[in-house]
Amino acid sequence: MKKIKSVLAALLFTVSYNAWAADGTIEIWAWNINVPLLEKAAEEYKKENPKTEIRISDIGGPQDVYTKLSIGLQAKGKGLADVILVEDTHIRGFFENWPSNFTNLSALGYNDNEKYFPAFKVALNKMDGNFYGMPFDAGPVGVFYRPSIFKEAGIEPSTIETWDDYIKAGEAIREKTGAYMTDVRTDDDILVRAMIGTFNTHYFDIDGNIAFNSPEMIEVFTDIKKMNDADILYKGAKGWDGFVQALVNTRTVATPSGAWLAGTIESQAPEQSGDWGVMAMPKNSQGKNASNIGGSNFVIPSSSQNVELAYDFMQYFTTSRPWQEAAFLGGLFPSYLPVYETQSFNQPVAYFNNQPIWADFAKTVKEIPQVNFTIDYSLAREEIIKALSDTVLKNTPIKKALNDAAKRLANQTGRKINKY
Amino acid sequence: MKPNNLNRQKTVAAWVFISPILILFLCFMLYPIIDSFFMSFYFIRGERQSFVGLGNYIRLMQDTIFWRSVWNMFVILIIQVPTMLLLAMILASILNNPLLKLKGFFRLSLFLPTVTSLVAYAIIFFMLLSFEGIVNSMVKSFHIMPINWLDNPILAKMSLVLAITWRWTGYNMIIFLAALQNIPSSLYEAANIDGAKAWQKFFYITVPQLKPVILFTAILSTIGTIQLFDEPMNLTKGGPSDATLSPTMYLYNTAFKASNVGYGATIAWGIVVLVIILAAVQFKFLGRDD
Repeated sequence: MKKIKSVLAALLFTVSYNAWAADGTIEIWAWNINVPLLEKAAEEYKKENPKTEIRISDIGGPQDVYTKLSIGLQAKGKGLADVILVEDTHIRGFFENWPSNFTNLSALGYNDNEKYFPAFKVALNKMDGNFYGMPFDAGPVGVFYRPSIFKEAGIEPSTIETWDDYIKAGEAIREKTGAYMTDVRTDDDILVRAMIGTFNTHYFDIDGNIAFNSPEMIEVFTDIKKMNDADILYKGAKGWDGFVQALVNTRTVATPSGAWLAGTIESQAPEQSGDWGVMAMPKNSQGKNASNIGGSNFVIPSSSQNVELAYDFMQYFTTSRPWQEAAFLGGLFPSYLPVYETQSFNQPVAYFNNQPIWADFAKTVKEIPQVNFTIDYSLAREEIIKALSDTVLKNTPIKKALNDAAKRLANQTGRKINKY
Repeated sequence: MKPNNLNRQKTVAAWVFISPILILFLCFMLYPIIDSFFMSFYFIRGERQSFVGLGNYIRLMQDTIFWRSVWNMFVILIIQVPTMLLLAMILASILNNPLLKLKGFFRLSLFLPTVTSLVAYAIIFFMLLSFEGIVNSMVKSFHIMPINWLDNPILAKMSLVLAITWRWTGYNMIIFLAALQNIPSSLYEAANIDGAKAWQKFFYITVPQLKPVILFTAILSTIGTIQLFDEPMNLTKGGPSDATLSPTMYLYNTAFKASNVGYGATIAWGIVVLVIILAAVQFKFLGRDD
């Protein structure tokens, strides 16, 4: 009887993933809500692989992980965990700075999973055609807004198609309710990133040249300037807390953001349940509106003493529908495509007035253009924030603000500025 | 036992006792300092390293962001250091007055800011000065438009000046207070006989007598301002548009955020050179023996 049971269990198991005998100990560095999720998965995995020990360390936040990772890499891999969670924005920096320090996952067979992930995540995790990271969560962008305020100002959200419509709606809302449409933080690039992300270009073009002068970037800045001139942008918020406070205090009534914002709003403003909605981003001049902010991936440093176990467990976790569904229920937005077909993904969400917001977000994921963050993203971000402050605070002409930022970045990185 | 032997034993003992701090100093101060000097001649980013000679230094000379950050600190320095030192000296003289009551209380309250954590006080000033902060809600109660303190290049610099002055005046005051006790009271007595007013005594006796201490505090404050990090990092993040970026913040961003370690080391040595120049200038103007 016992034998039959274990055979059955093994059979069941092979349906979800292909295990090879794994043993030993590994450590995983992660943060926040990723930790309890990985812990549960590790427990489950251990039931089938009793000889393994998987330790999940909560490192506090992504910045702390990057500090530890950088130091570990400089110390030739000493003290590094076997698996490390890295955000989209930083993964290219690590790959390009330390190309021979991460495990080639394609060599271990990860290519078979390519079809399960959106193109932009695949591109992000590949170096010279090989996977070096496993895609995990994503942040498809939509506009979070307050239906009651829109109604008060006589705005029908579904009529907002372009940024000009958005600005007109914002003006009506500002006039009738006194609230600002959206906030622009002069210490963050999130608004610019949400908007430029809809194009096939970003801070850098596909060849790694600085693309601040691109017609697309000028379009984004022109739209932001129009919003600023129409006085529908709130500039008083600083930092993440300021941003959230402005939203829940109805200082601002709409914001383009990654899907992950839903959890924050829900926990920060439980009393506003039913008075939140998500609409698609206004379309850019090319008619596109799919964009991504945030998301993370798993990498395995080659210093790991147990690459087999690290790979086996992470492949099991990142490509298992039940675990990705659990990630979703735990507040993350997985990039693993099959999870979008699950029932929980397509359910109406009570807090959002029974709108099936997750299904709505999922619709855009496949269309998200890939982004070339490059090793110099953090510098580019600083410079674009300066260009943004110059535009909305000092009224510097857009082309000059962007040009100056491009020059400063070129100076710092030695990169060429693309001419358009 | 020969005296010679005893001497040697004493020397050995001295070295043994001093060795823990000496080893720590060699490993964690001297070695990194020397290593950073060599690093400043290399391009270092992750696995990629190459010797670039003076390349980093040439780049530093032409680096507009670096010079912008130096300029920022220079502006802050010119306004903040004299204000703070004068304030500290006045407060010290008042506290030194034998007629003053509750001396311990005033001394404590003025010195207390110095022992608060740099990050904590910067965050508190952020809460005071941010757009939705306490200062603006007071401003609003006078029916004045709220002021965006931290988003205006000049006001943001002044916010930093305000914060640093609050934090460091007490520290300098204590140094002055100690020095004041060394001024012979006969000088003041003589001045009293001559009928000198309080401000005359302050400017003609106190200030000249404090000259070496003024030099000391001025150099310390200058070095401190150039190395400013916690305050702009937490209060303004170097913004708006680099208006409050400090050289050390730029160093941090370059070396640790953009992981451009070689050039980061070059910036550090650039800061060292600046500190030396400024200290030399102050020696020249304040340090002359009359």
